[in-house]
Amino acid sequence: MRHGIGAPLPTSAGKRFMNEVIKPTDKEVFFDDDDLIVSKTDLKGRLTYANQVFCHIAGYSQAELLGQPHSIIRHPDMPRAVFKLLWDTVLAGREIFAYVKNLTKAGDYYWVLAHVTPSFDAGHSIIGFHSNRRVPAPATVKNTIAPLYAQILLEEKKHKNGKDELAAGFDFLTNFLKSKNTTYDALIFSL
Amino acid sequence: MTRSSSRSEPRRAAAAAVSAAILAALAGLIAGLLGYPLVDHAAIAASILCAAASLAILSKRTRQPQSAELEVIKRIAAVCKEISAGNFEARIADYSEPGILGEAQSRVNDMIDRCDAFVREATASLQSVCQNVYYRRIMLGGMRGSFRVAAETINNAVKTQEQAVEKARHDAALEHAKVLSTIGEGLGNLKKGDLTFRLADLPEAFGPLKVDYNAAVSGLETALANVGQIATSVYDQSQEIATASDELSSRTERQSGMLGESGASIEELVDAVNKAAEASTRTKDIIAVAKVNAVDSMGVVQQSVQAMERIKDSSERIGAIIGVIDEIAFQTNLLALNAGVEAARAGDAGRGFAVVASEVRSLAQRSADAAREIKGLIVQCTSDVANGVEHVGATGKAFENLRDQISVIDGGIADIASQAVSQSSTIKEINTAIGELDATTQQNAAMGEEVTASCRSLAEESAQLTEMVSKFVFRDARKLEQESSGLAQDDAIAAAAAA
Repeated sequence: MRHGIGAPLPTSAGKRFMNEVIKPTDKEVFFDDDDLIVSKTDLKGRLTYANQVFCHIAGYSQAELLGQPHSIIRHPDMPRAVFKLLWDTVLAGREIFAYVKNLTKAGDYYWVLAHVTPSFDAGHSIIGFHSNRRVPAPATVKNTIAPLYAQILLEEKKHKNGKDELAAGFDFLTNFLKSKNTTYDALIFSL
Repeated sequence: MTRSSSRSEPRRAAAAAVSAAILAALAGLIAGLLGYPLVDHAAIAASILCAAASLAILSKRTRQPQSAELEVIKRIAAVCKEISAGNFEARIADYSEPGILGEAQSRVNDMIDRCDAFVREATASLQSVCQNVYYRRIMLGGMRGSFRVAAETINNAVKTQEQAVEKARHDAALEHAKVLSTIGEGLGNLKKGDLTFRLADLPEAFGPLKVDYNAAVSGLETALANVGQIATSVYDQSQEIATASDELSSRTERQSGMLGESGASIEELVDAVNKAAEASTRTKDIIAVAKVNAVDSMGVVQQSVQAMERIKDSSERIGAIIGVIDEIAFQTNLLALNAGVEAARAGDAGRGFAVVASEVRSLAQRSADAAREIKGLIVQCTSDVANGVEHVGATGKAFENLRDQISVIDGGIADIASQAVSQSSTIKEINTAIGELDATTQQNAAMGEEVTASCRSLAEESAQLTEMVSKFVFRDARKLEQESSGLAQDDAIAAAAAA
């Protein structure tokens, strides 16, 4: 998640860990409805905490995760526009809920409904970010989120330039919300 | 962290007890902070004491705590201290102890994660409520037991609040719709021009609106009723004025005609006066000639008197001469007688002489007779001359009188002439005045026509006004007046009663 601080988002479909490219599979893995995947990052998006559920489902040990960018679990099916929205929101000091498709160390995927909030110090300065991830409603993911993200991704892939790619996806998302006459937050909570 | 440990059961039980106690204490603490009396303060204190006791048991049972265990206990104590201070950022981030020591730390983290999740969710949800956003409910995923009860309670509270707000909105919308419909009805009637319609009762908040609206419509009704009445009155009066103005106009026309005729008569009069003035001037000239003639005649009469005087003198001298002639005749006769006597004595020689003497005596006799006759004529002549002198004197007197009378006539004619001039100028002034009067009359006639036209258009306009006003429905102006004075009385009575 270091890209949230201004660095360009990784665009390659292959994720690397320890110089090994993770090849995405079609296998979906799940965690308990009752469980929370919890992680914390510093201001640069580097993991400072990952709970057991996170380690377990992502297939990494705590030691493997700490200090790594959060994008270590970024799945290539995720549109960049969603992360832009996420980062714009939390950097503005607000919470955000986002459906995210994540990549495990083995290349499998798992859907989460991520709740990302900035953590403040006593002086109300952002000192890091906290994320609780819950099991999303499978129907919502299947019928709404996955097709929407695929569409945004399609828009993004029309452009070669990273900046244009991001702008195209973000515009698509913005226009989609406008056409539904809703806000992003209201849309997420209505699902 | 489900790997089983090789350590003894009591230690695992003690570790579980520590975690459970701390979890219970934190849950109670958070619930207490959020205002949900899940656990009272005594229970929190008890839980913390229990946790401390369990840790003591854990220590005692091992008797000689190894440094790794001590390290873990220290970490747990440190993170618990942070959590107690409300710092939910605290976690045991990096640990690698296997078995129960690892699990204890993982459990502590899990406990903090769930507390943290609850705090973040509850805070976010209630912050949204503060901003009138009600869809931001607590995500129940990961909320167990008391957390779930608290989260559901909060969600229910938010839902109740949302429903209350929605109901209030709905009620307000209904009220607004009712108010709008009532006001719409009022405006609809106003649009149709019905000023007798008044707004029915509106909700209390709109009371002043209703009062003001009804007062405005009442004012409008009264005003239009008065306008209608006045328009009718203006129409009637303008009709009357138009009729009167018509009559005035035609009279003025006649007056103008008469003035024209008067002008013509006066022109003739001016001519006549001018002719009279000219005639008097001519007469004056003639009279001047007559006066000269009269004076001349008086001179002639004087000369006649003088001639008469000279005739009288000549007559007297003729008388004297006649006396001389008569004396001479007498003497001659006497001589002739003497000559006859002498001739008789001289006989025959004297006979011829005697004849001459007789002839002379006859001539003397005839001379004496002629002288007597002339003397008589002279006397008659003298008397006639005296008469003539007297008559001529009377004639002179008559001429004097004539002259004087001519002078008087001359003065009179001069007066006539000057008066004719004065009359002429006066008549000219009159003529000018009549001309001006005629112009004024014509202007009056024109003005009369304009007034008539204005009155007609005033009548038309007031008729239009009446027609326009008739599109509105209102009660009779007098009735309204009575009503308002009646209301004023009612108000006065009510005020008196209130006082």
